[in-house]
Amino acid sequence: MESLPLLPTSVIGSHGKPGWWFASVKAYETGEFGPGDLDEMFDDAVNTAVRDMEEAGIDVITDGEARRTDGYVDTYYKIITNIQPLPVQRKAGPWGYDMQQRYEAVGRIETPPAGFGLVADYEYLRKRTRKRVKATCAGPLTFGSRIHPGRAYKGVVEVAERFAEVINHELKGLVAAGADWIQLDEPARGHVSGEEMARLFNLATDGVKAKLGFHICFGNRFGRSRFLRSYEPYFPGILKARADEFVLEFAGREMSEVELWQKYGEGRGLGAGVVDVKGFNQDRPEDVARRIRKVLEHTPAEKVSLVPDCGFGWSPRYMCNQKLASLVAGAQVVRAELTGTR
Amino acid sequence: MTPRPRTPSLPRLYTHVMGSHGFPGWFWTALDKVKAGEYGATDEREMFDDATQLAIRDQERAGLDVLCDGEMRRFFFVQTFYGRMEGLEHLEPLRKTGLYAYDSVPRYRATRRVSVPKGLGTVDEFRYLRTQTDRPVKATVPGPVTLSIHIQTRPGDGVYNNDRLAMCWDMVPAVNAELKALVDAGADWIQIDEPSAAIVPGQIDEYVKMFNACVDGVAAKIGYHVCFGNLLSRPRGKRSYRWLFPAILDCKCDQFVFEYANREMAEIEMWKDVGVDREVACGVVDVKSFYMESPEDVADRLELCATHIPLDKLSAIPDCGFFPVPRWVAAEKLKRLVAGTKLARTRLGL
Repeated sequence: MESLPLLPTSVIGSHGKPGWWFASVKAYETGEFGPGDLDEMFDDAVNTAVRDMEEAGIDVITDGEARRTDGYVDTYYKIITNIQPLPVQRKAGPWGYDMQQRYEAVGRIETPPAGFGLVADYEYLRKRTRKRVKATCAGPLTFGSRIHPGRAYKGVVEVAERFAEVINHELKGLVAAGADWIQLDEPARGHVSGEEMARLFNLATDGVKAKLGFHICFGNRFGRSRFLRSYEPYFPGILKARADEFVLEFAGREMSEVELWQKYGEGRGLGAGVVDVKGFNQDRPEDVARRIRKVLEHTPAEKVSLVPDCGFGWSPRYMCNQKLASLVAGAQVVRAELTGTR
Repeated sequence: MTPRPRTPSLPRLYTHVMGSHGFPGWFWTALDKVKAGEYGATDEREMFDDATQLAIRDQERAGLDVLCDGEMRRFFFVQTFYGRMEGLEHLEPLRKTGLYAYDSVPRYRATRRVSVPKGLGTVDEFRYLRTQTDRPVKATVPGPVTLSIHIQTRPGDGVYNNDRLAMCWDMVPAVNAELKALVDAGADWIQIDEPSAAIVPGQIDEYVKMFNACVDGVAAKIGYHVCFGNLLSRPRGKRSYRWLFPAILDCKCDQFVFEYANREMAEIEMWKDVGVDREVACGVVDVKSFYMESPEDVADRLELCATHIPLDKLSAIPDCGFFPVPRWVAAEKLKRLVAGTKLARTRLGL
């Protein structure tokens, strides 16, 4: 396995999908693909994502989350028991968060004994690359975000507590399979405080012996954000999370609040979003370098890793690849400035 | 230059809209029917008129000071206008699968120099709007660069030979004629939308000349909207106004209309250096996010604007049009815009 350079580059998780991925998923939904066809396609999509990331020169890669059919959790909702779909209130017109399929809990939420399949995904990825890899999993609030507590649970936090148990089991399986870097993603956290988010993070990662990342963003479905784009209200409570690294979005927010880490960093790692995944404007290496320098004004370089703001799951593949290349090139520029080496 | 008519009396820190309103769900369904040929001319007129009336009603109910017709008769901002141009050939989109992006958009190629013999159709839009409300209204027309954006030109194509500026200049007489016809129809306030000025890396001096040729002899209050693109809520340009200055100050417009909310208010401080010699409408509601600004959020943003822009030159607007978002999002955000502006007026002692 390669050792990591100063300012290592990584991704949040999802990679831009090829056109054939979308056509194939549709073919599966209309019955033109069998499960075997779908599995073959997913394997190939992962291979493609890995190859794109390797060619871009990313230091720590993922499987591109190419097996997740619709963002973070929809794939998993299909295999969870004791949840029932609710009618979708709006189906016509432009996409919105109100068009998502939601569920209601009708009993104790149960997952298949074999888990969600993250372990098998990880094992596949491990065989496909010699690069350092990171496993990613939705956080407990995000996992429960579209499940109404119904009568089975007292509220969204109790649903999240149940998912923390489920996730914990999954993460321990990942560690047993060799994963040494795991990131929990908590984009859909409702109106829960930073301190409560930290408590749930700690439940989900209790006894999980790996480097832990905590990605918090403001929403990215189809490039649209969803929350007030400020981290300040979550601090300092969120620092109670036993995360080794907080992975935050800055590029699409004109680097606003990048100074936060000076106040709150406490020597912890910062995965800094220095590439805008929402805009089609191609970030040039010098744009990325300028953003990295801004991050380094407030955080020591040894504590910083460089990532795009969020996943590329809602971006076309060509855009994703352009931006990954600029991420790597921008990192090289600043690395050279700091160390005289590339 | 022809003297400009007086702007209807508006409160200080007035509120207005960029142009497009969110389309109701039924309207999208109806548009599919039109495309499939299942609607007759009367059905079509009924549906477009109704959608326009509802857009106006949403704006009136929200309490906006200046309205538009919601651009309900336009599709994807400029696509409708290509149907009114002559000399174009339709091209297949470059990419048809996956997520919609700038390479998924229908494109055209010029087979000869492009002309717009019967106008862009905004005069009929404006006439209808005028019959539907007593509030002050604004007409909106895309600028020449934006009108040309989906028309391809290549070296040696025998028409524009990769000279985009020449193509843009061919749009100028059409835009100028359109603006004059709008004035004849009673429009006293027209906004030119030119997001592509900040998207197509260009010769800003040439864009300024083009803008001034478009508004030449147009006796109305002229707004100039420059943003960074909003295709299904995603920008395309490099999100900075800095490079447009100081050249853009030579544009003969009465108001600049810029986006700030989605950019964390970046560059608002620029106005202090630039000097405010005309009105500035500041985008203080983010049209790309589903986060619903509280009145306090909007008021905070406006107060920040007010530290750099004199109050008698400042007005409040959403960052861009609402075409890419659901109608309820648009309607709700307009209410927040108005409530936040009221709060700002109180805070600022207006």
